[in-house]
Amino acid sequence: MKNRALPAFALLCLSTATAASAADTPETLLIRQALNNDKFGMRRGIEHLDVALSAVAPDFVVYAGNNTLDPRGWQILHEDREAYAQTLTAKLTENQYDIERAIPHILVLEKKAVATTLDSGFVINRTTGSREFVKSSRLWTFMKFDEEWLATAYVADIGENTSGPRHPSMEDEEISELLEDERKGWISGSASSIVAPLHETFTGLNGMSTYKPTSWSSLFADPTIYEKWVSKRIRRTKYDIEREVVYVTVGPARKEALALTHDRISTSYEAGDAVHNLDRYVLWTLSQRGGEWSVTNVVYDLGLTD
Amino acid sequence: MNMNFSTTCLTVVVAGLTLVTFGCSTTEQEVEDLIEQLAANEIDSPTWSGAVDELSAIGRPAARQLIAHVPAGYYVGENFREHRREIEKIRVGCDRALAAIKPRAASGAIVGTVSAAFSNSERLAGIQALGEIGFEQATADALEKIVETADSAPTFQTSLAKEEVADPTIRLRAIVALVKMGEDEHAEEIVDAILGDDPVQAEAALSDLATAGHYGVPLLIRLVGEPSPHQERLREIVNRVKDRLIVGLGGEDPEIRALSARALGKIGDNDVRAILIQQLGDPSNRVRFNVATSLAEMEAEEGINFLFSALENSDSIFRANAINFLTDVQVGSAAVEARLIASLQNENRLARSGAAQVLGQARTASATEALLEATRDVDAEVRWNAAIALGAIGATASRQRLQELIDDDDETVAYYAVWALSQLDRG
Repeated sequence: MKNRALPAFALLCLSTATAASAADTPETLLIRQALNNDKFGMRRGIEHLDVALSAVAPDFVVYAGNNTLDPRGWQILHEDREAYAQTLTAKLTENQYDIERAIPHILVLEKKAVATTLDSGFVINRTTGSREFVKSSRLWTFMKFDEEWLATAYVADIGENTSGPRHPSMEDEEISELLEDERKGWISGSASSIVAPLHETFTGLNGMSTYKPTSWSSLFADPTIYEKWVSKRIRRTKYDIEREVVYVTVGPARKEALALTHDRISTSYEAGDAVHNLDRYVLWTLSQRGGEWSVTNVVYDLGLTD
Repeated sequence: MNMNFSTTCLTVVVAGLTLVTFGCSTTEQEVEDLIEQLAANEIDSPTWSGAVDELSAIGRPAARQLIAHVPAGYYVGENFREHRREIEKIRVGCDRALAAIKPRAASGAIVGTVSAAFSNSERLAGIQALGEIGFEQATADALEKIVETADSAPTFQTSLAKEEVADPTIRLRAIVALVKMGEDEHAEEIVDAILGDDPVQAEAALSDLATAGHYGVPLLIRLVGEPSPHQERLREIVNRVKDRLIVGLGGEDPEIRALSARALGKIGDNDVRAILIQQLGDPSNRVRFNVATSLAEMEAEEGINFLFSALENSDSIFRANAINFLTDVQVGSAAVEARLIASLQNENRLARSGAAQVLGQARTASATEALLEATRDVDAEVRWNAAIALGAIGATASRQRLQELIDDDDETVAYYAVWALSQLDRG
């Protein structure tokens, strides 16, 4: 398993209210607070940039959602907090953000979390005074550092469905090789090959056959649990996986990447003759910071169509 | 020598500990292997069914693991299974084994899997298991909900099959499960299904009733008495139920022994008479009374004698039980009527008083003359119980005598004479 100080990716989305709800736990309250800090910084302008940035982790990643929940339309905008801070400085210098934020969904997986927000309000040009109404959903990922929840990523403008534009996939040999090695690990029943590319902050989510993050559920809060599962699984089953890498996008600094695969899985068993087949899309986020690429998040079984 | 002895002791201890440890993990491992066998084979295939049988045979030691595999929330982390069909096979197999083992603790987990979010196979296996495990309020509520809503949801979405057509027998099976736990509000629909002309519904009702216990007996006895093409099958079912009830008589739980005894009485076969007579020595009073009542309904002297003897017992609780159970017998079969009337002349005042109470509670009109006579008993308690009985029966012929009793020396007798007259006035 690879090592990295801070996480990457950003998942989940959609929002309702920043106010605490009856279902809140101490952890979700802290996550709400972090999201509110980000909003507060945006509303108050450049002199409160530090407040907005206080909610994000150093390896913070921002994806452009391009108004679609289909990852084939997503691109990587910023690969760390510095890059994000530069853009934010420029935006806050140019505009005033009179926005409200609703937080409709937070899913906590031990020290990881995904959340969705819905921002609405006006962006006011500080020079011309022109006002533009904006409404935007974001999918955030969080990680708990000591006692503090920090955003590790968000996908901006995720929209409400998958009808937005798709982008052409990049050709990236390293990413393709990693995904192919993982596939071969399953076929050969090699647990070490399967878990080798996992980042130490790896999180696995179940997409529950839907692209809507509010319906996703947690599967693996960390790579140790995933490794236990893999070991248990390959002792009793045999896998055959056909994998098509349908989309890859890599950040300009090659620190972060995102991939979508279309997997056709067939599982057979030592204890009987049943064969189970599954056709699913899998979203992968990857990170490379001074070493090889490693998998930071996976969402299994996204409900996408060709 | 000492060293040898110490070494031997140590060896024995280590061997014992190893056995205990290894024994525990062996069972767990065995259960885990069998569950894997469920996942790896088609439902109802010989291997799959074999795994269910073996899990059932392991019994209670397997229950904890089986229960754990039922809820949807189990299949995350290291227990994740990406194929929904796998989970279905495991869940249905666990439900079937739990239906045989019947651990109370399983109800909560199973109740969560009978909603329309689960597949037909899962729902049906869950419903059947709930019926076998027995009454819990949450279980009854969940089954009632299925009865109320099943017809309004001909199709439903599951994570397994997206849109699945609801099994047409699901409502009826929920009703059978309710009957098995003593809730017979909708039992008439089972009769209609078995006597009706829809073979699918009839088969569903018959196959689920085949595993009925004590609560299913009255319905089965009724169905056996109705002309239908399923007579032979129903008799077979009753025989199997009878065999299970006989096993139940030897169970640990006195409640089960009592209910089994009572249900065997309803079946009434002469070949269970000897078994029931033996059960009159049960350590539990409740069991003994139920056994005696069943025997009395079968007109067995041993049961009748037990109840009449209890009627004379100085322990008021014991006597109250005798009155209630004799009332049951009198209402159900009138097998004790002559002896009850005769008991009004018994030299024991408790027997006379108790007999009057039973005849009144059972509204035995043919006992009016004897009860009128009992209103002249030297014992005031016998007189007031006879007055109450006459009022309960509504015996108009007793009006004059009841009028006279208003002036009885005993205030309680006078009070109940007034009450009895008011009953006659109400008609």
